[in-house]
Amino acid sequence: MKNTNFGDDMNLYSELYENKQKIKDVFTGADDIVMREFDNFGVKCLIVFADNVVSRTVIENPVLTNIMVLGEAQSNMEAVATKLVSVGETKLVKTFEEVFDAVLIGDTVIIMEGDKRALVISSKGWPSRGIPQAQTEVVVQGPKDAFMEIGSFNTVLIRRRIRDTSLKVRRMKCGRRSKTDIAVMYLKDVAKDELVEEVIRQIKSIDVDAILDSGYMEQFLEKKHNSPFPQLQMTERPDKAASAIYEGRVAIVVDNSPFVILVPSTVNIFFQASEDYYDRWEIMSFLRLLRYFAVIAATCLPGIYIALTVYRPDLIPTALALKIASSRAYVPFPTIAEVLIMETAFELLREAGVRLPSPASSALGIVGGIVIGSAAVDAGIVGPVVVIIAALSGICSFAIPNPAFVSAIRLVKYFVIFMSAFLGLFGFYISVFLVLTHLASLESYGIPYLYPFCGGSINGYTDFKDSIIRAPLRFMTKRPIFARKGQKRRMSNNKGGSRK
Amino acid sequence: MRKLMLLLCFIPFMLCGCGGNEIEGRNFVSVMGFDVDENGEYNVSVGFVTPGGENMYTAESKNIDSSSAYVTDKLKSSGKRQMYFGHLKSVIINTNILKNEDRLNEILLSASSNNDISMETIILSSDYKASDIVGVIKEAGDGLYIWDFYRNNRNGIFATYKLTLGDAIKMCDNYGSVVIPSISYDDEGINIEGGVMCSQYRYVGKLNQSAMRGFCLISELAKGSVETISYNGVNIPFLISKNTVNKNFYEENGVLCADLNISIKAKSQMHSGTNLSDMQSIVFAIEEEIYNEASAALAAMHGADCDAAGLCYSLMKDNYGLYSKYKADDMFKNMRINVNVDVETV
Amino acid sequence: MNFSKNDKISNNQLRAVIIAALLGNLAISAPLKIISISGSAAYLSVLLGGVAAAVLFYLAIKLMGASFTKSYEDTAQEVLGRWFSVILFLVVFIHIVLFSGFQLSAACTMVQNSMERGVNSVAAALILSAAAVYMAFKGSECSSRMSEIASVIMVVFILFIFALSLPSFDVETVKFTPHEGVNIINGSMFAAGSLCASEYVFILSAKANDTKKSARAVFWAFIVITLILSLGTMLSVNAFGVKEAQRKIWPVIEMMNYTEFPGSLVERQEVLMSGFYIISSYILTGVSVYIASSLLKKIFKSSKNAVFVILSAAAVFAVSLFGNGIYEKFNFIYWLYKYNVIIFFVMMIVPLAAYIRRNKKCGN
Repeated sequence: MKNTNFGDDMNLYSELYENKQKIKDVFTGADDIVMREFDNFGVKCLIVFADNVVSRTVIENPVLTNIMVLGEAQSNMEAVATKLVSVGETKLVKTFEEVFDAVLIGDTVIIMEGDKRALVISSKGWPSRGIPQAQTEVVVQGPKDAFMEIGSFNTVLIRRRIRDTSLKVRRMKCGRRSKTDIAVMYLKDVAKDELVEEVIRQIKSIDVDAILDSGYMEQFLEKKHNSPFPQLQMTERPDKAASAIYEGRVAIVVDNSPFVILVPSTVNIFFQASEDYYDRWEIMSFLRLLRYFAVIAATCLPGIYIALTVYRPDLIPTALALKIASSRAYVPFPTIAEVLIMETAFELLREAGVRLPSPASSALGIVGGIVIGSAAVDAGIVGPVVVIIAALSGICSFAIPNPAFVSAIRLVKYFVIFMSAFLGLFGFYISVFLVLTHLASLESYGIPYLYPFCGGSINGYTDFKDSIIRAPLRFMTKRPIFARKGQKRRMSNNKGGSRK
Repeated sequence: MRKLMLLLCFIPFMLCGCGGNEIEGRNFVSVMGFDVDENGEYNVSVGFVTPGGENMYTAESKNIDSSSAYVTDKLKSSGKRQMYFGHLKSVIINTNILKNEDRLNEILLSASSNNDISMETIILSSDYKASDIVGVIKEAGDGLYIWDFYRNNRNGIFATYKLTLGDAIKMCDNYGSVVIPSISYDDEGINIEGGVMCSQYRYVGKLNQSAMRGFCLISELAKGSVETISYNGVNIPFLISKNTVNKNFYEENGVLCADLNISIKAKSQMHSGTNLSDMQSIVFAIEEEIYNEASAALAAMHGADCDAAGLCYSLMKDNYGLYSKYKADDMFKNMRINVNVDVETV
Repeated sequence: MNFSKNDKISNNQLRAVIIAALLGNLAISAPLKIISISGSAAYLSVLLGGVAAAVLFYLAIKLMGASFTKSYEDTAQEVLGRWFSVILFLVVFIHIVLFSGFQLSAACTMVQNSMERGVNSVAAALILSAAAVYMAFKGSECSSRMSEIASVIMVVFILFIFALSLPSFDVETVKFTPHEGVNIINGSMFAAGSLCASEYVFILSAKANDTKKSARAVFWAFIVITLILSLGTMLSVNAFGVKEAQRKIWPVIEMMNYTEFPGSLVERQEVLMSGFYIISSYILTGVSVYIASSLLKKIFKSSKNAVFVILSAAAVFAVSLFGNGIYEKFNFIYWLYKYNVIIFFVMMIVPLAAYIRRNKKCGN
């Protein structure tokens, strides 16, 4: 990665004064950068750190007290590091660039008169909240912890779940100015080498001012960035990330983001919730089926309603057709407008509900529900059937565990609605075919997006065990397609344990 | 190139009908009646439901003045609202129409060629004017009366059977004959009983109520129906739970013969005190009743040369040699038919 | 990183493409003619013709697997030389454009007549061609993945509908009488011809990952198509009777009108089911456009994918304007079905020549 600001890949001076001047020049106007000269029993030293980003206790006790009060005079930086500074992680650096980077990420730098090296002492102590609870991927049964904004803590949360020496964490920085820490985590003997290399190559090739969130990273890593469908999985659950790593996938931890990116990702993965594996397989298989049904309903229901009522009422049973017709008798708008009014109202409610604090959003839900559900029907603006259709498609979209996938479905729904309104049943079919074709054309790091429904034979159809249904854990003896060759088995032949 | 693609995608939208008819803007035709006037032209009446607060049923008679039965397109745009035939439940054909050659064929073909009309549409014949029947249905309910009649009286129908458009076409094609159930009305409402025999798309005779039952029995259509016999002055109802017919063809003294072995499983509620001899007598009584009805039906069909039970067709499929030997226009008429009835009570 | 490098497809996908592309189209266009030739025993004709076609293709692809190392187009250029191969490609191109064009036209007539009257069949053809261009752009992998899904959905739903219509099945209707014997043979010849969509089979099976096993995949694809088509023909004869079935333009689809699906929220199953046949038409057009464009690229020695894809799609669309051959006086599709076998033998030249060449080399 190129350092842009000052082009300061030059080495440190031996004169402390010159070094101080240079650092001062660079940090002019940055009042939160603290520079202080002090004395190591006669030898002049300079300490530089960013205020509030560092832990004061680290600087004061094991560093300043030791160097100034308890220790003795040292001739060079190396001696200071080995004899005086009692901090776990230190390193000697030679260039200004390294000094600036260290200061910016919360480390403390000590420079000594007459030494061309600087000592970087790890002293990061950012303000942070504690380990939060999962917000978007809530489960009833299973761990409640979630990732947070500090990347290094997130790697810890994952490492806690994978106590294996082959778990590798490749650290790098991304963002010309933000210099965001990125950690790529994977199991060395399970993940495919070419996958890891490709991910690292892609991250290194990103050249942008700042990576503020893993959402930025996601959009840069996606191959088809114009598709509404997410091609990478974002999760806030450490257990999900850990299980993905066990399967041979790669986790990308982005600093400042409580979401970890998992690659590769297929459609099937967006239907999986962590809870699926913590509860009994029968009920979870049923829920899986329900989620697949939900996604079909959320996408197609309004479209097929328009196609059937406007173009082919003969397909609806007579009693229902007459009911729909009589309920629409006093509605002044055409069906398409009626559906769009309801859908838009629903989207607005959803959007407003997200922005509001939770007590207010529930009130909004009630008011919106009453106004739109009942009053609109009474006022004759929409028919009751359309309210049911819009509500059903809305509820169905909430049944899918991944918010990014839900967003895609919300957009696709409008495409289906318009095609059905223009071309009736034919338009409905064509829109569904086109969406399917688009999905079939997507790939995530070489895995077809629709896997295992397409190309399932490559892995001997074993991945169907964790698709529309969730087979008992004892039957899922093999790792999914993501694992490298020769590492497909994750459970011994006796199905994970003795059965007495 | 992308612009060209987009343009290509949008052209079809301009070419095709954007926006159909709204569902509430259609009149849902549920009954359609065909009459014929002195000039031989069709007089079509339709009973339809207009969507609204109470779904009003209206019966309207339209003199289409058409010599063709392909009237649905004319009817469609005859009023302010579009007449919609997607939920047509029954077609009533006046018997006088059936007396004209090929009219039945025309009506059946016109109905089956219309994509809106379901093949499940019920076909009925009537001695009364079809427009009157369509009007009377108004009194009987919401216009779906005939449909409901079959749906709700599934177990009660024995005097008749349900002839759908699809079945009618199939019978006409395969057997050359069809029996169309008759609909009539009186002060109490609508009755569907008896039937009209058509051969080669022409009216050839009538089946009375008893003969119609017989026809149902020999056509294996009587399953699920209830009949009552009188024994020792007591009316005993029984339910036919199984109705199979085994056809056996052979020649005897140069005459083509057919044995119709009708086997019936009947469920009846006897008194607990009924003894064995009584039981046997009841079974005999049922057998006799069924035999009489089947014989009446066969006699009527023989007389009119209407092979609506498809005996010749069965012979062709079972024994093609025998069939080709006796193949002639009056094959059915010359066939000697014996009826055997075997009733098993449960 | 890719599953199937160099635009290759797996044998399962090959099977799926053949099923998805041919099943629906044949079900739309073939049964009417076969029923009018063979009468109530049309299902037997389909069965005989289908099995014959399956065996024929099995042997041909076996031969191909033994002698091919490259794609069909490359091998043709290698063994026939530039000009002969160009002539062969032109013939195949014309055939594929005609075949898919007429099929597209038949499917779009069905859209207009049965599915959605408001949509003009020409507009439907244009929309389907435009959608096919999108699919062809994405390459053979995309269409094969799409076919995998489509074939499973189609087969499952069709079998489901067939199972529902079985209770009203009357064995007597489908009994065949001895005098129908000759008709059955004639019908089976026609059925075999209609299944001989050789270009798809030859060109796609050369793209399969494992050419040694692709013969089996092709064989099973044809068996599946044959069985479903045969069952469909049998059920539609049962539902309508022979005469009415001959009057119906697409008996196998309209047969579903008779199927009562208790508790269904949708009546008139045939209209809904016709969607599954439209997907078949969509895939056939997409694959045809893809193959046709790849042939054009070879003919003109060019790699301008976009131009040739659009050209091929335009050609298919133009052919579809010529006729809805199914029920007009001159039936383009039937004419093509009748002489389809010729293109099979024309295309067989390449595997035969490659085989002889290879044997000669081995001998030397």
